[in-house]
Order: sequence, then structure tokens, then C-alpha cells
Amino acid sequence: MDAAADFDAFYNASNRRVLHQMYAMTGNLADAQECTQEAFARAWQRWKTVSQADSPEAWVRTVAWRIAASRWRKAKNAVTAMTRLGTPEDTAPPSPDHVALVTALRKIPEAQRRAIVLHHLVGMSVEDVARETGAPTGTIKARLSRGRSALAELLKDDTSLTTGGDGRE
Amino acid sequence: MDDSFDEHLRHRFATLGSEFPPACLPGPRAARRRGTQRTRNQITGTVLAGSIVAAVGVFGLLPPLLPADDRQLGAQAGTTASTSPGPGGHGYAPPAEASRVPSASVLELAPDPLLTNEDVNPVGDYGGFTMTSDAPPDAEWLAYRCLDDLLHVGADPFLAASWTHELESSLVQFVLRMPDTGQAERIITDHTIAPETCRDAEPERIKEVRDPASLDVDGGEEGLVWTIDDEPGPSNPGSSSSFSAVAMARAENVVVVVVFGAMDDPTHGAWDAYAARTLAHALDRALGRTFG
Repeated sequence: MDAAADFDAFYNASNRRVLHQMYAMTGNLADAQECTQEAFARAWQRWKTVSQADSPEAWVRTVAWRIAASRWRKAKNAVTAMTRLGTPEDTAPPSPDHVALVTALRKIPEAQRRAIVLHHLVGMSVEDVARETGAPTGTIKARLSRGRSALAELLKDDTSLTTGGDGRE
Repeated sequence: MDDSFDEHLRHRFATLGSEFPPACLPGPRAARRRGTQRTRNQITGTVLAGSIVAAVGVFGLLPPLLPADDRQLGAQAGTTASTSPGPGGHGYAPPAEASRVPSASVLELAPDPLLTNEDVNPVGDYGGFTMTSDAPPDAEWLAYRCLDDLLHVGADPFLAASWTHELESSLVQFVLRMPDTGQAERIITDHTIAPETCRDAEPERIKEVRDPASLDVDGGEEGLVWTIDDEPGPSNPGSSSSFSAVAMARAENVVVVVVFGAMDDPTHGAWDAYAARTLAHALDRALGRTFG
């Protein structure tokens, strides 16, 4: 398989997962699309190295996250993304359930949000989250604990509706 | 926090992507085109910076940068790694890619792991750099050059050396032995974006950072290079310009970095070639290998 075909196979196998994760991390589909596509473009630039990494998908996710974080800090917003990618076609409005979740995620600190997504969505262990984010495992545990508590509070009413429970932890 | 909330969270996360349209990203060909376009822009920037060097010389001095097209990338594949690159082939993570496989080898530093005066001289037109006993730079110095705080990324050891030149220029080298290859890889990965996040300049100056470009370094598995031009703004005409250049390379768990600073570029746009050669020496010194 040549490099382009190899890259294309990797892209096709992983792009929706990375997009899904970036959507959870950014809370904005257009931002997530832009950062994910840009990260794949950078992966192609360095495909010789990236393809040999232990996890090329982790590489793309890490770069996509840093692109997103950089843009937040530079106050670049979805306008840029929409300009480059165009408005997503045939995109149905998100469900109220998803709106509630991404809204809650956006209200917790970046570092907690990233840890929550890597652990609960990607399914990584605490140790793997620590390795990918470069933080000690104790810090990750604290971020997960605080992030979960914050989300539980933010989703309390919503959780009651969804589960029929009282929303208590 | 009980398990039911964790389960609830997992369920909601799992359905989050269910509303994405079938073609929610432009596709792999668009990603390759975009990556290739970035590469061409970077090459163009390098050529423009080397205005004194004849065009044929520039292309001769440029490192084997990034894949300008599919054909080039295929030709480059497998040309650099001299140590174990990790899992073989071009395999990528399966869908449940929750864990990264630790690299089998963790390299130790050689007894004399730093560059020598002979290794660093000359830098383009400038010869006569001599090693000094300056203290390692601090985080602010690093941040100006778009470098993370390398003193606090977990390297053991973190080594630094510096050289000065009579024309008010300097060269600094760092050697970082990371606990594993993954952490070393992350230093490189983090800096693929870092230069784009540090373009802020002093109010009265204009700072221009060239996008980081991949650098092929003999004996290394990956490398990066970028340059920074800092010019006085219109309200500050009496001040001097400055040129900074940064390059880093990795072999397994060892990362070497060189940072150059002067009032202008003594390589006349050929910093990448100097960096590739010096980083190859740096890796050889750090790992106790004979110069190839």
C-alpha cells in the first residue's frame, strides 16, 4: 500500500471518532470539523513519522486539541471554520439532549473537559490520559473527579428527565 | 460520584456523534491537498528568506522537507530511522485505541552528551562561537522562541549548553532524556502547533514566525524547524532587528534542541541545512554514536 492509500485508509477509519471526540471537547461542530481536518492535514505533512507512531490517532487527536485550544486563546471562532469548510450540509439541528451535554461540557474548565472526554468517551485509562496530556495521574484523577461533579450538577435537571431519576449522585 | 452517573455519561457521549451527517468532513484527499499546500507555503517562505542564495543553491540546501506530493512522500518513507521506530509497518490504532504501547528501548545519554565548539562552528558566515558557562534560559526566554517550558517537561536529565559569538549572536543547545519514547514524541508534537501560538510581539515591534516545518535529521526519527524575525515597528525605528531559529530532533526517548539568535541570519536562509547537520551531530553526541 502506498503512502497516500495508507493515509486515506487511516483517515477513513478514524476521522469520525476524532471528530466525535473533538465535538465533545469543543462543543461546536464547525470548530470540531475544522480542527480535525487541519490535524489530519498536518498528519499527512509528516505521515512518514506519524504513521510509525504508537497511535497515529492519538497524534491527530492531540494536535487537533492543541489547534482548538490555540484558537480559543486567540479568540478565533467558528466564523473562521465556516469560511474554510462551508456550512455543513444537511445537518439536522442537534437534539436537546446533545445540546444540554455540550453546553455543560463547555462550562467546565478545558483541562477537566479534556480528561472527561478522553476517559469517558475515548475509553482511555487514567494512566493513558496522563500520558497523552502530559499530566501526573493524580492530577488526572482530580480533574476527572471535579469534572464529573461539575457535570453532574450541570446536568442534574437534564439527568432527571433522561433517566427518570432524581439526578442525585 | 457513583457508577450510575459514569454510565449515564458514557451513554450520552456515545450518542453524541449519532447526528453527524454521513460526509461530515471533506475527506482524505482534501486533507492531503491541504497538507501539501501548507508544505508549499513553508518551502516558499524558506526560499524567500534566502534572497541572497541563488535559487539552485536554495533547493540544494533545503532539507528533504515535507511531502510536496504523494510521490515525494513515498520516496522519503523509511529513510531516517536508525533506531527502532516502534511497532512495525504502517499500522494505526484499531478502533478501541485506548492504550499506547510503550517503546521497547529507552536510551541512555553518553558520558559527553553535548555538542563541542567544533560541532557548532561555523554558523553560516559566523565562525568562532565559544562555549560559555551561562545559566540555562528561563521559561520566558523559551516562550519568546515558541518553545514550551522544556525545563519542566519531566526530562531526566535536562542538559543545556550555550555558545556566544563576538557579533552578539548566541547558540543554545538542550538535551532532554525523557522517561519513555511517548513523552519525547509529545515534545515534538506539541511544538508542531506551538510556533503558531506565540506570534505576539512587543507593541512597538513586528514579530514574524515561520510555520514549523518537518526536518529530516540523520539518525533521528523526526525533527522540526522554525524561525522568528523580529523587526522594529514604525514607531521604533532606532531599534535593531533580530533573527531567531529553533530546531529539534528526536531519537527514541531523547530530544535535542538548538536555538540560534542574532541580529540577522548568517546562513542567508539556509538555517534548515545547518540545523539538520547540527542536530545530527547533537544526537550522535547525546547517544555516543560515531558521526555518520
